[in-house]
Amino acid sequence: MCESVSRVVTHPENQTARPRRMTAHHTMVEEYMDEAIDTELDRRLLLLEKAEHQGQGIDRIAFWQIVVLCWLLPAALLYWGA
Amino acid sequence: MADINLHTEADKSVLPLLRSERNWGGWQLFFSLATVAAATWCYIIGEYVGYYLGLKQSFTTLVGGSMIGISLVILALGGACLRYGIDSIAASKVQFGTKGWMLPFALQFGSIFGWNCLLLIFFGKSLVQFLVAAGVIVQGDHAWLQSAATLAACSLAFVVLLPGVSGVDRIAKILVVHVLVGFWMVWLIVDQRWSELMAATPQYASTDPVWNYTTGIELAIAPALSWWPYFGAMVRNAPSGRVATVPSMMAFGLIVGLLSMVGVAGILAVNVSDPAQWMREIGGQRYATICLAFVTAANLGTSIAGIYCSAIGLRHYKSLESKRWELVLALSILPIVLATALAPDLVFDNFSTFLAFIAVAFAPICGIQIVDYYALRDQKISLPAIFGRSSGNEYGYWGGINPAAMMAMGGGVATYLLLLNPLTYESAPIYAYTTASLPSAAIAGLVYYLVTVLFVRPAGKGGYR
Repeated sequence: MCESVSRVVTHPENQTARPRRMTAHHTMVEEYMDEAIDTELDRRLLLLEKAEHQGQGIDRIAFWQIVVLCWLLPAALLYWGA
Repeated sequence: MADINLHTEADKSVLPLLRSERNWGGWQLFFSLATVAAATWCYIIGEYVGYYLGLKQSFTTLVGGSMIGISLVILALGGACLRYGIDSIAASKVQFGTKGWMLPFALQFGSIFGWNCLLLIFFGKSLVQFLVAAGVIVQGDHAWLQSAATLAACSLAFVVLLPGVSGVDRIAKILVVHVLVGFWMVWLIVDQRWSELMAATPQYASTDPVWNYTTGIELAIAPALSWWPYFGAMVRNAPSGRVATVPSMMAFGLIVGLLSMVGVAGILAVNVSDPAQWMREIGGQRYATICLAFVTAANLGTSIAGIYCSAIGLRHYKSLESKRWELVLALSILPIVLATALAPDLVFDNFSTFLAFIAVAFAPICGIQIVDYYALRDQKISLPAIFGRSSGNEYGYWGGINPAAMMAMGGGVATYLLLLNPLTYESAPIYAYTTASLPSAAIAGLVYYLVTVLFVRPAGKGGYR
């Protein structure tokens, strides 16, 4: 990943991707990567506002799966063992 | 080009996964989680339960307790991780704050580090036993070989994880066979040593049978809670709760409970929980060689998943966000390498302390997250706020730390310690009827609820409505 970004940064056409706050410990590639990650994060956050890009959490069916398999069955099993 | 790479390599970052990227089906998730779950730790958990209970009660407490324990983890993390494709640490930022998440991260890193030290040392031990069983080397002191094998396993884990989570998936498809081998080992020892198993007296059993039974349940719940660090990074690859819930329960609950019976049967019948040591006696040379090969490999599979999860956790540090994946992986592996080289028996010799640390740490976190997500937020969290992209900075609380979560953690830990001293196993009278982990989670949740309703929400912090 870094190699490909490195090529992009050093290419003359991509000089606009020049870092804004480069330090001794923060290389040009890392600065570019920071910006790329920020951009990608923003893109994902925008998409994830819409339901079609989200997954589905613990809905009613999943909840009842937990109730039956993780509470009722263990309760019965523990009662039998006791 | 960078965008394309980031898109395809999101599984190496803390970026939330989109629905289109989360394509693990139920079986795929089950294989991966079962491979993570099935390792030598099962035998040690079984050993500890076998100190207090006989075969039948060990079976019911291990399976029942593991299922109850994993239900807390699923409820705590499932909603956020499965909906938004985030890992456990990202999900904890909602409750602990944009700086307070370092506490769950430290616990995650400590837990995975401990388990990995244990498993990779077992990997080395099992490999030596395997080579002895296969006739490659003779019985003797092979400490150097054991250390070399552990270091080789670390290197192998590094290579396997270079492609990201697909490395875990690939190795899971091979190593999941160990689950069947584990069941076969249980059948073998039960079949051959039935009379000894029935006649066996647990070594440290108290005179109070209720206390023994509750301790068995507690010893099963505590390790189940240690799936918290692994859970988010793994299940976020599945698209929904319906796909992920049953495989998670089966792998982390049922399979761990059943495979722990290997340790129970071993400690009751032959006084040794590790099948690497008793397989030759019980099953003969050929069976021992086969079993040892799988036991050895299984520890590697679990460690690989653990290293992946801790590497994802490390990515939450801003300074490591854009570093090369190889570097982050190396940082995850380095502590294990150092521990293996400098203090190889650190975790192995202090396993009960380590188990206590897990129960004390993760039970309150689960309680806090369940109450927050279901009772206080109506299952709605702000993804931009988790990643510091919200103008309202909802999860900034006070200086990035939510005092409600810290007080709740304190309350939960104190409750646990008041009920049970996890090092000496001295307990309060009520412990025999409550366990320690469950009240710890409940009290932490209650404290969190009260502090939030009385102070945090009125102060306009936390993004509560």
